[in-house]
Amino acid sequence: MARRILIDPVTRIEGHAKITIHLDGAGNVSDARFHVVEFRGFEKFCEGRPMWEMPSITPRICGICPVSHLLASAKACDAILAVRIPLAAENLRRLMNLGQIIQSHALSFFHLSAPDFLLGWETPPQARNVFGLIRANPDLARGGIRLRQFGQEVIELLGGQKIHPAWAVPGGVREPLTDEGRQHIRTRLPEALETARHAIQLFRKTLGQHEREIQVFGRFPSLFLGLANEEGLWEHYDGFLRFVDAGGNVIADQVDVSQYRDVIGEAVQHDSYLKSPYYRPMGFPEGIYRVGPLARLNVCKEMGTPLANGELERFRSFGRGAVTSSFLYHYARLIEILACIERIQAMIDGPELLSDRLRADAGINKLEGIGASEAPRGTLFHHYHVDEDGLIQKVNMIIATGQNNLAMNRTVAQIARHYIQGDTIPEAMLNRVEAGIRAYDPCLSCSTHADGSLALKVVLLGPDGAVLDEVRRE
Amino acid sequence: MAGILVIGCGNPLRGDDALGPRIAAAIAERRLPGVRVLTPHQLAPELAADLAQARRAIFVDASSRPGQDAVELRSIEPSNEPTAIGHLSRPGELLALAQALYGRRPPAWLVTAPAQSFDIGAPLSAGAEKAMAAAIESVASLCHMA
Repeated sequence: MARRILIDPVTRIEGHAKITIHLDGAGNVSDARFHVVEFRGFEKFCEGRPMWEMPSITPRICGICPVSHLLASAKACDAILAVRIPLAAENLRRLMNLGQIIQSHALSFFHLSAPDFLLGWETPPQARNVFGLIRANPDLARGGIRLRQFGQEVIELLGGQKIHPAWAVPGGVREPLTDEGRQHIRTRLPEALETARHAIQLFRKTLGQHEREIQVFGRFPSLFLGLANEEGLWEHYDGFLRFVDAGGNVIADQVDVSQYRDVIGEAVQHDSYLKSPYYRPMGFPEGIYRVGPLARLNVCKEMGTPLANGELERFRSFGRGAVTSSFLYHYARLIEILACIERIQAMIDGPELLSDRLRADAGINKLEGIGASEAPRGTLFHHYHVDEDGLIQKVNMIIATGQNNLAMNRTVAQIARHYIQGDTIPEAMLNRVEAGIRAYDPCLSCSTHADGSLALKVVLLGPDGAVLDEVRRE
Repeated sequence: MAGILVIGCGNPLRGDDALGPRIAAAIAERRLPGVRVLTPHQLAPELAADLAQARRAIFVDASSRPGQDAVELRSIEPSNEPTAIGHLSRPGELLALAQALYGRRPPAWLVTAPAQSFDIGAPLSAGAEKAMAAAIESVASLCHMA
């Protein structure tokens, strides 16, 4: 008798989603789906708007990583203006993106995921949370919170506000970094670096306790996509598309972002509003690929900074070729925090950061523009068509969480297969399925925020749709 | 210590989800002395730092609770339940976080207005428009409370 288990929604993921686990007649897991029930309708919503407004509108897609949409949107608009923005503007955009990656990764690691693997998987949910982490390791918890604050301060010092700064504009940026702002960042760097290094050391020590999770949390061969620069170094703002396979072999390299459709196809599944992108030359679903920290570290030759390079070497010992366990997204996230801090250290004293030459002025010179950058969760694409007056005719966005959709399905199935035996829904399975999804730090925050909308529901359905069992967590 | 903190949460591009920021913005326009207004897209953990410095906190949000057809006001107690910790925090969890991290939390209230539609780009529904005035007065009363 075939049955389904529903988990709706997944906790500690912004936005609303549910998980369906399909059991075959013998009670074994046959398939799993991570459903997204929120409709990402911004593409239609933007049609008819002036192109100039897009960097202000599109960050509203997300309250967690608005900077990513801000930058990808501004880059798509740069392409429509057909300008090369001033060096100072590019470096300031880079600085903001580094702050964005730090604050987002810090939230993911310290608030959302660290309780799982630092407090223990079998710790009751009432204690396995950030409050438990504060009790068990207050210095780590406070350090993580201050690290997130540091990333947000970088954003705020540049954009004037932490969330939705209307700062990057077509052709450049509005404001320079002030000397006071630069000094503030400079003084906060040592503590941020110490926190990142401490967290990495701690995480490495605990890895031995999570061998089973490393094995079953999304360990499977797939492709990986990320940006890399001309030398193949880790890149977060510009560069070229690069795909590697599970063996670590580069299968597509130096692909200009404007040619993304040559390498990325987009499938639509009937039970999710998320698109399911795939590597076009291999077709769907064989072309499954992952994006985000794990992918970026698999794609690059080196991180480009000394401490992060050293950590990358240790990270790569977990794979043969590419590192294929999604559990190690957490490790990759910490290494990226380290790299971001080192990069800020390297650029903060650059004289051009204080330049007032920040914007290239131009009109509508092309009717199509594509911008891409690395959001914390993975490569983000904005693709606009405009008319002669610059009014938006068509928008296509490819977001990181969509690109990881297929991989998240496989991760849930893999975890469920390991922990489900029989008709019951084991607590250990629920904890780990949620944690498996959290490894990707998925962002569904086109969602709303309404009182009463949060709950965890687990439903076991029989083949006729009858509810066999239901568990609900408020 | 800072004064009264009003946090109106929601996405202004998602129909009635704009209730929180719209109500909070209306309070901001009144320029009440000692009242600071924030309109975040979502409740995120860093708001704990602002809460720890406030004498009183008022959260304003849309409500999707079935059966709620009028503005509701209730006091909020700290909660360390794990389910919503993270990007989507709840008011009680933010209070608990403020207490745990900074050693203090303000007395807090939650004002909710019933929401009917969360469609992208949609204006407030008729019901939400109707609830706005009552919600604004409810928040203003809390601000004026001695």
